[in-house]
Amino acid sequence: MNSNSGWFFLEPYVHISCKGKHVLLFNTLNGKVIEYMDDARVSRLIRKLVSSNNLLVLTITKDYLRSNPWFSQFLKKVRLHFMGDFIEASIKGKKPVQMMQMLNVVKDANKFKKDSIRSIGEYLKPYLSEVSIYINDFCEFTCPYCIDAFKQFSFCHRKTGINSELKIETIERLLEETRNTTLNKLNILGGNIYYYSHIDRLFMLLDKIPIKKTIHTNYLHLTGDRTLLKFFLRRGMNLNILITFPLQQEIFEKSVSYFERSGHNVTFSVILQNEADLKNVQALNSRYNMSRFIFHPYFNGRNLTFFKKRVFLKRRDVFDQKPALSDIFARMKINQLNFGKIIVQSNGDVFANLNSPKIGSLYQHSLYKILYNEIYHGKSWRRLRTNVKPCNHCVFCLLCPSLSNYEFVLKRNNLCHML
Amino acid sequence: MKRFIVFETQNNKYVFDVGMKRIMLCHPIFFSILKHENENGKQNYCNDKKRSSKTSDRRNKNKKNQEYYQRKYQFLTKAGYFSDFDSTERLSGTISAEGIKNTLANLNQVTFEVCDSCNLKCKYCGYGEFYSDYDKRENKHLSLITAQKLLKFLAEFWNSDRNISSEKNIMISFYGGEPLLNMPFVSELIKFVKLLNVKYKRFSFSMTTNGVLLDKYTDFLVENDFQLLISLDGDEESNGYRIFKNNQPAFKRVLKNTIALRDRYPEYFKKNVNFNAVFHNKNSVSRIYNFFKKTFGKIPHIAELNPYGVESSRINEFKKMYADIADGILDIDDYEKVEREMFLSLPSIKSIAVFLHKYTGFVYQNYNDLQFPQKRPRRTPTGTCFPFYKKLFLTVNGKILPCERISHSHSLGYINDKCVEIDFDRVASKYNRYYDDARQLCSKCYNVETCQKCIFNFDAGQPGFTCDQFMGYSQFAEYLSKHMDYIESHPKLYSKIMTEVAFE
Repeated sequence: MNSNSGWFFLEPYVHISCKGKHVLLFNTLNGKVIEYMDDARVSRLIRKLVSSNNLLVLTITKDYLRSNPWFSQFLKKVRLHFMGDFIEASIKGKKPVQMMQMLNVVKDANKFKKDSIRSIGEYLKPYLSEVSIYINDFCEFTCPYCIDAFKQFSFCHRKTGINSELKIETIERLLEETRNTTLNKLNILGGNIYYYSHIDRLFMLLDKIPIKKTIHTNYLHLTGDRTLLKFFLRRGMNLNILITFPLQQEIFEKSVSYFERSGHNVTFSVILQNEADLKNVQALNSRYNMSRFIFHPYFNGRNLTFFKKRVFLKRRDVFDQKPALSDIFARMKINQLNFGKIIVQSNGDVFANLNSPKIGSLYQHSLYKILYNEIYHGKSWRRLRTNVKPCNHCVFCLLCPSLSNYEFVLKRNNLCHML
Repeated sequence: MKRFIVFETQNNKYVFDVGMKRIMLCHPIFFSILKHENENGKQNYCNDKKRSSKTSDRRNKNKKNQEYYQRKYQFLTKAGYFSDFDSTERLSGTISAEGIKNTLANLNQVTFEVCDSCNLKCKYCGYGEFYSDYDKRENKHLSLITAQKLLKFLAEFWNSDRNISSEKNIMISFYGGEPLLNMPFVSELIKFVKLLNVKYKRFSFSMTTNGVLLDKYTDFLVENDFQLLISLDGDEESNGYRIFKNNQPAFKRVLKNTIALRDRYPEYFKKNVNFNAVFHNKNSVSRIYNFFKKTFGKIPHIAELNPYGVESSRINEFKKMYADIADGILDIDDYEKVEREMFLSLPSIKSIAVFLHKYTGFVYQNYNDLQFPQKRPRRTPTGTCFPFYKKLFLTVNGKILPCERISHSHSLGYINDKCVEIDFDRVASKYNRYYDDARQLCSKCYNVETCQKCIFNFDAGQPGFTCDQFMGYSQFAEYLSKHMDYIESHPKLYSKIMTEVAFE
């Protein structure tokens, strides 16, 4: 590098994260990374770069270059990955600027909270994108994971001693209220949904709604006459079959095979608790088309080792996901996994996340009120890594996916090997 | 359309990606490569450009640099930069009747022309001697029954499932003429609004007034928590155009009333009262700023005279009266301080704010835009507001308009003795016809994103129709250069705008 003075700058598509002496530069266009774990000189430089006076452009004098020989190497890396550059120029001229990342969400809930005239609820219904309805909670089986798998991912569950089912009129009213939302996914779960008193009427109702509808059924529930289900699958409904190990092989062969071969829109959600389950999946691989299988790690309280090996993120995992700039921005304001989703239990209680308190009841509140409660209090839809320790002190904070249900059940926010 | 625009400020070089609407600082060599491509349509800058270097070292260095920037160009291209942009497709959006009904259900503001009479005869008035595109002023009062009919009609939309909000505020605004001349109407309508059965909305009230009768109705306005906009052009000399019908100046009376309001209700004044100053040849930005700051501790909104719809026979006289705020700023003492305090009240700062909001890529309207970002969503041409997006305006004659700033000949509906008549399909067709006419010109304009042009203010479809805000390549490059130059001189303005300003 020449020893002339000039302007050093970073590109607007580079995500910059600086915590203490730890600096991370992430190129959102190609996923390339420059990282300095413990370098006060680089962190000082970066902090100056992102100040509101500098807007990603720094004056670099000849003196600075002479007394900071490390800068040349740093610049070389930056240029190599097209993350920035150096313009030799007379620094007496006006310093250029770069469009520095500063997210502005016009209808941000926090802005409205401070405004005496505007309301946080003035843009609500368009946010609703997915509704999961537990139509009943009765099931004849007693699976060990029933107690809490549904709090980690979409899964059936039952409540002992209670046999509640959601009134069909309530479901009808809810679906009517979801008009003028951007609702595009509807999930139906139970208990054993085939015990629902109005299953026929429910299927007829769902058939009329022109959005993606998925019936989630434990494979154990597929043994009976499922003519109705098959009929509606032919009409475009989706089926997600929930599978756990150890398999009841005969039931599995009989029920699942039909759907697997049928050509209908069928997926298989498989719970994995340990390495043995993984081996079982490999056995399935030889017989079934695995492209339709979705795998859900399940935390049973005793398999932290499995989670650390198979679920916790390593550096490479985060970089390989290559989050776009829009993802990074989204993670500053919303929980990408939860936002826009509500879950209705069979007793009418509504949740934005089953690990958080309820946000209302269909038997007492309108949909407006329920959505307003969530957007105002922000426990799930706006549950952010930037607000929790230790993630808010980590350079990977916005590169990691939003907080999931696993952070709740494992009672820790950093499901990773970074900190 | 070119895929990108290269432009320079005094010292520095930038590129604007037309499709992505992004600006990036450029190294001079990269800039040359891009410029070469724009001019010649070729990327082989290395081969085309003949350089006479004195030493082979320098030649090698130049070659390496150019190869590097060629690679950078390819990298950016692969990432989606500099790609073809179909502006016709982008501007192919249309309006539907259903969309208009949805907007009514989520209205922000209803404005009533309470009367068309006024106790002043301001020279530049939009309903005065210079203009003719409004219904004749006949000293009429808006009928209370008509206004109530409208609100009942709207309440059906507000209570329907088209409503997307909970607890949304709707501003009920009173306009004129001079609304304080018809206070019985205002008072009765407020009572009606408070009893209106609307589930998910709340109401607040506002008024634009010349302040002449403020002393009579202060208590009422405060009691109902009115947001008040008082029209005042600055100090006494600046208010030279604001006169009574007997040609006497109105300034002292309005000032006295306003000071009395401030002294009697200081908290209300601080929170609820604002000023609108019209900029013309009798005042200046610094005089306006100094007057309002010293007298009231407030920063007024400053508006230029409306150049649209001026009678052709009065144009020369109008031009003498007209002043451009951009020119008015040049002679401000302590500009930095005034700029900081006036902020968006200054058109230059507002222009920078709009520029940054549209061309950084870091501004999103709502959380859905974050969750489901759309690369190049379709939109309608021009800067025309979606019908009723900002407000619904009811004239004293029962005409329904999308705002008070356009000619009354463009009514979108009306209220008669029997009912409220809005033919939504007809309204949509009307807008779409105008858009069809404007689309061909707009699709060649580089500045569509910050367009402020309303279709009702220019003659789209007429032979030889042009738009005074049209920007071709060079004009847009100049626009970009001017704005980036300003930000280079005021870098702190960038973060102030990006954190504090929200345009919807």
